[in-house]
Amino acid sequence: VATFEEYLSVRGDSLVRLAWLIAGDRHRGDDLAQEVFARAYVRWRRISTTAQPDLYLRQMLINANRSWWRRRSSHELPTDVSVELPHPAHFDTDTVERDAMWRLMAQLSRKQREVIVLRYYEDLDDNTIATLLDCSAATVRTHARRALALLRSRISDPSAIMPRSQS
Amino acid sequence: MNDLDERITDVLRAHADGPVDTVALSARAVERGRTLQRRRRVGYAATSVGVVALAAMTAVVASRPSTQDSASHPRPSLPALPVAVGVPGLDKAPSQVGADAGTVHFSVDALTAGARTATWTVSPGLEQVQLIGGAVPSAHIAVARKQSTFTNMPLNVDGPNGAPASVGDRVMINGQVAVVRSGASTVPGTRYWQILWQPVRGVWARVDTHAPNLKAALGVANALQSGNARRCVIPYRLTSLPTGLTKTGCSVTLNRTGPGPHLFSDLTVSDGTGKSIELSVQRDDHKPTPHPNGTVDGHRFAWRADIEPTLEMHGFHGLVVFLTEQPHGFSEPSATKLIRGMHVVPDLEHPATW
Repeated sequence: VATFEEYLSVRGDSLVRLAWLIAGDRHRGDDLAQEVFARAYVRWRRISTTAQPDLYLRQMLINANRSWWRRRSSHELPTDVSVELPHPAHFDTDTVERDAMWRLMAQLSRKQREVIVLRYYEDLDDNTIATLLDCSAATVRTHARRALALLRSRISDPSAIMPRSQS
Repeated sequence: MNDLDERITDVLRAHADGPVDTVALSARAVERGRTLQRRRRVGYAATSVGVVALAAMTAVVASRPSTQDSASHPRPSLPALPVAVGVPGLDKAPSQVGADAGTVHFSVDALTAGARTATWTVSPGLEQVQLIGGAVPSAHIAVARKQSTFTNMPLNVDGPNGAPASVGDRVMINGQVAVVRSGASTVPGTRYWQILWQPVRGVWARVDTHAPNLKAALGVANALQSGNARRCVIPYRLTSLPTGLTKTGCSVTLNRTGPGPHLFSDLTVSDGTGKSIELSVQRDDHKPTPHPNGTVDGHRFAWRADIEPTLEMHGFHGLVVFLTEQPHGFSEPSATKLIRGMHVVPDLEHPATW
């Protein structure tokens, strides 16, 4: 059985990247990962005996993200997306398109974003996503369908992808 | 993978790119984890007296009659799919499994009654039900005419550290030999079990379940009843299908809690050449249709044909409707024709009347 430090040295990298994506920005993703890893350290003896600590840690990340949303008085969209913009000198068509799509994805609901990230980045099937999100596979499909419909509908609407004014 | 899928994958990979300092990460996590451990030890000592008092108080409160509105309570049992009168189960008609989108040729009444959610699905050659809650945290029971049908359903069983799980334990299910595999589970207090057997000649069955032990997992498999058929019901009828289309798939999710038993349902109609329309409905969310650009029978809908043709319509007789066509080939007129022929049942509360 790997120690907690050994496990993080191998798998910590991919879990942090997942945290970045479900949180919507790197700073909050880092905080999320940090908090979850600390709690995982406390429970490591039990987690390490499960066959899939990766799944367990993913579930902890998702739950921690939900708790963060619940603590917010309103479901504000991440406002610091702009900190991840590349330097203007590095702009090219691909970068601009990616940035536009990223802004659209920031407008998805938390559940829709989780499903999209788990399906397209983690490449998980609907049943596994359903287990992680504690819902049915049909619910996963509905969130995915609605997220894709939203993205499709806004791809051709430039006003939908402008940064929100920061009040 | 279509263009939108590729763009999503691309942007996610791009935003997940960059260096991660795992050494610093690990050090900070250990430091914070130790702080949490210290707090927890102090907390346990301080709250142990309070827990005893709280348990006693809970017992007293629980013994009093509830004053809450009964509508907020779960229904006593999950509604069952209605019996398909005169239709044989898979024991008498194994060749009919997955042949009729409107019929499920098995039942699992012992499990469904206590479940929180049940999703019944019929597709060509395959019938399945996914249960959440009840006797076990989750159970998936599938029957198919060919064992190879299950090859598209991933085997999720892994042993410790990704090694293969135990394979090949043989047990008996209703007099038939079954093969059991098991592995660790992410659900606390359970293991992940897969059971494969032939309940009758010509039909394969597979159970995937999170269960505390083999006995509970076998309880799921033994609940499969092959002697009667049920109707895969959805809360609407289609009275006019575009020419050449037939119903090829049905899926309905019933829920024990919430305002009504119907959560989602999907009906798939196909033309036999790979073109299909999926008509999905869910409980009304009381929101207006976003960006409407058309009307059918007085109901506003949004039709988008850019990548995957989709029609979305909210507030349709208590339902939200999504209609998706795959691949390109059908058109807005065929979609609206389908909607015009869609008659929502008057009683959304009782699946037996659908």
